[in-house]
Amino acid sequence: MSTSKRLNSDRLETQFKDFKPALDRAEATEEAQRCINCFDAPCIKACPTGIDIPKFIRRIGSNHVQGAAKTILDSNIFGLSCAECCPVETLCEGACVYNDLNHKPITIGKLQRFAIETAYDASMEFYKPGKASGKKVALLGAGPASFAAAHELRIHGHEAVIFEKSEIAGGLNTTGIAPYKMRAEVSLREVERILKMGVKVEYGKELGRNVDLNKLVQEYDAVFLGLGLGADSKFDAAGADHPRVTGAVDFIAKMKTCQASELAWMKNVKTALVIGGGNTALDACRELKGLGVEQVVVSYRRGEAEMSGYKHEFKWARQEGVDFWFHTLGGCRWPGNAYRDHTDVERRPGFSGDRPGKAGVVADKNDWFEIRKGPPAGRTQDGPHGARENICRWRLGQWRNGSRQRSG
Amino acid sequence: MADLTTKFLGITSPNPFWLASAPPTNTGGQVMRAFEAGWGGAVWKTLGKPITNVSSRFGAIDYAGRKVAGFNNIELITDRPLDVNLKEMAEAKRRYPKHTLVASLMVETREEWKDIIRKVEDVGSDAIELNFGCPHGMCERGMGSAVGQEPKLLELITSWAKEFARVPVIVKLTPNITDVTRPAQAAKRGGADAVSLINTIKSIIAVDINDFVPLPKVAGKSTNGGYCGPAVKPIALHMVGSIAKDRLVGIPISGIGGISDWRDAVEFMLMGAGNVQVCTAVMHYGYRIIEDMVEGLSDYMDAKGFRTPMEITGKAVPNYKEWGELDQSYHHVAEIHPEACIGCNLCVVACDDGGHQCIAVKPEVRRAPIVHEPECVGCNLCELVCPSPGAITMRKTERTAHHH
Ligand SMILES: Cc1cc2nc3c(=O)[nH]c(=O)nc-3n(C[C@H](O)[C@H](O)[C@H](O)COP(=O)(O)OP(=O)(O)OC[C@H]3O[C@@H](n4cnc5c(N)ncnc54)[C@H](O)[C@@H]3O)c2cc1C
Ligand SMILES: Cc1cc2nc3c(=O)[nH]c(=O)nc-3n(C[C@H](O)[C@H](O)[C@H](O)COP(=O)(O)O)c2cc1C
Ligand code: SF4
Repeated sequence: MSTSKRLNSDRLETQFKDFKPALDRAEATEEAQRCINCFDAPCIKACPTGIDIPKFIRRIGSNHVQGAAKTILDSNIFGLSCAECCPVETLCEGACVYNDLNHKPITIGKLQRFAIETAYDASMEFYKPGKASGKKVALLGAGPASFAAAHELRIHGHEAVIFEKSEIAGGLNTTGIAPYKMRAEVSLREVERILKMGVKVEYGKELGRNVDLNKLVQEYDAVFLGLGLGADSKFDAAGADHPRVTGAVDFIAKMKTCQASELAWMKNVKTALVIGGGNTALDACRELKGLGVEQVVVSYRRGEAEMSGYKHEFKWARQEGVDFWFHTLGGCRWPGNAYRDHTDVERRPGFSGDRPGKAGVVADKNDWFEIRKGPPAGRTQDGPHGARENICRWRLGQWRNGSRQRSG
Repeated sequence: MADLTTKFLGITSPNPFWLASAPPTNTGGQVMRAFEAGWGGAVWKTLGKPITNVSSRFGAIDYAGRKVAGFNNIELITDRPLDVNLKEMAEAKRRYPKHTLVASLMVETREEWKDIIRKVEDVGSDAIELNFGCPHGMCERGMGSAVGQEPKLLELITSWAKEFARVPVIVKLTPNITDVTRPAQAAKRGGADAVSLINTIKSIIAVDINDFVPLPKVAGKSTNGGYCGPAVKPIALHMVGSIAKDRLVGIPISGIGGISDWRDAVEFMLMGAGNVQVCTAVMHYGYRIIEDMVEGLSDYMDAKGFRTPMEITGKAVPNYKEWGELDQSYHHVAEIHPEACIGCNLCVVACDDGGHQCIAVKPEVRRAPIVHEPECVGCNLCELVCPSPGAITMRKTERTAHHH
């Protein structure tokens, strides 16, 4: 058994400031006292972990922060991470009745963060391992799913051993969350508390490589699969191996955990194209902005309304100066759904992403289309729409999926 | 702009707003700044025999994010030398002759009353106020509320003051008494020209739960003080109203207690006050609050057609009845307006646990709950707890009240 990899102190994510700053005690008390304390509150129903929100808020209001933290943690042992990175705008805060009064909803996420941070800063302890049951459970993957399960198992006195393929604990909660929402150390802080419950972690143990499921099933009373959704999808296109084309999740992980030197090439990047319209794309574009990339463009194959990323995140990205190009597949055929329009591309002259040394490309795993480094500047010859396409100066290549070949 | 000029005991003030005898009227510099800001009058910080004050002196209750919902003090009367105060009073009156200057006094013997009344009249005081209200420090010495709680003694001292004074005499009453009309009647019998009320309510503002010392702390110990500020307004309004209603009193009232804005002031005047006095709100926000008080009162008077502030006085008194005089057959029920309802269900839990179990949740999220009218007693608790303006109103019904 080894310990989790340490975070590098000069990692790039430390440049980011909190997008939603923490509340101080006076602010928290005032905000807590604003809560109506709804009966049968809609915010509770909107919380995927069912935290009794008015209950914990009332405890903050009465200056009983310990009780507030306990209320949260009883429902969700990752109460701090969730306070900082949950999309509260569409969950609890989106359900707050104040919205119907045209008032600002209660800032539930910030109050939750206040409660847990205050409790943790004061080294309050809430749980003890239960009496040994003699049973043991193997958990695969050291993400929040396994850790939350392991914590629960320890409370009931079962042994919990996590097998993690990487060298770092916390899964995407450590390596994936946009740093202006939450830094990796917050994830590890919560992991640390769960480890104290006696959870063991074996690093460098990958299911299918050096871990055998059949053996685990024999050795343990139960096996929990907490493997997450897996790595970035491969950018299956010509040019995908270009050194400046990277998967977003991989890029974000480096920014959050590695030495800055591992992303040294980012230094000179002035423009970046983010491909995709999901939440990872919306994180990535704001992260690039935060790292000082002057022009960040999100290109998305469909329209604004179809984007799967949250509306509030989209709004903030726009406010931070990110450009959005909708319907920008440049004639590339999309499986089953012909690309419609790409006129938006034309409205954005001056994008010079193809200049060597100036471009960073971050590809969201969800969008699969092809980019090749184009000619230095000027017109591409082979776009289906001729001169129109050159304005984007990304030369769109071929969809390499057997029959779905586009001409030109 | 309405004319706010107010006549009270024959004294003319630019408006009905006086500063109560308290820290805001401690010094000449302050009182002159207050007059400059627009205050109609000032009752000087109580003069008497030399004392010292302690530190700390104050405590406050914060409520729901608002600071100083209630305020507590263990301060005594002025701790400045009498001759300094007198000199500054003279200067203030000389420089602001149109503003009302009232001397608040608290001494013990007949001779002391005679002496100090002469001195404050000599510096131009328009009236004197006898402090029979202070509930801490002075009462243990047989002054302040110790007098206010003893109608006979109050009457006697009032009569001394009337004997010596050429200017009107106001008796300031303590609320620390079961029936405030008794000392008010005594003041009348003693010849007082008016009463002013309330002084502070005996209180302990809070206790430090870590070191077990009540607040405010003076070297690790504390004592009871006097409570004032917005929290005491309902108590003061009742006391003012009950004196205004009492035929045995029948003298003017200067209303005090939790007044923070023009609306509070209007309420006191409607309940019978001829003018009002303010302390805590000024300690909290400064003399500048007078601007809003003056403008707000003026707009209110214009809107209601009052030509002078005196016309407001007592307008609500005929509507203040004994419980037994109320119409027992009147009945109304709660009505929930779904278009304004935000679905918090606070009315449901309030009626269930603290009312009469007649509001039911509608199962669908964010649907207005339903009132079961035959069970509704019309207590209006639901209307009070509802956070959405207009979502619950009370509707008159013909049915008589339903008793359980
Ligand atoms: C870029 C990005 C940003 C995100 N931002 C947010 C956000 O702001 N808010 C939010 O609520 N959610 C966000 N999420 C989602 C959130 O991170 C995940 O929902 C959460 O981490 C899932 O937890 P998990 O434990 O199921 O999986 P993961 O966090 O993915 O953890 C799985 C773990 O299993 C390990 N593993 C994988 N395969 C094997 C194997 N074969 N053998 C052993 N170990 C293995 C992995 O290394 C990893 O440590 C984001 C996700 C991404 C990608
Ligand atoms: C609507 C209502 C009715 C009350 N009825 C009574 C009563 O019948 N008898 C009684 O002794 N006190 C009664 N009280 C006073 C309460 O018992 C309590 O002393 C008072 O409300 C102060 O406490 P609180 O403000 O902290 O709740 C009543 C209070 C309220 C609000
Ligand atoms: S919906 Fe809003 S006001 Fe109601 S309990 Fe939840 S946070 Fe409080």
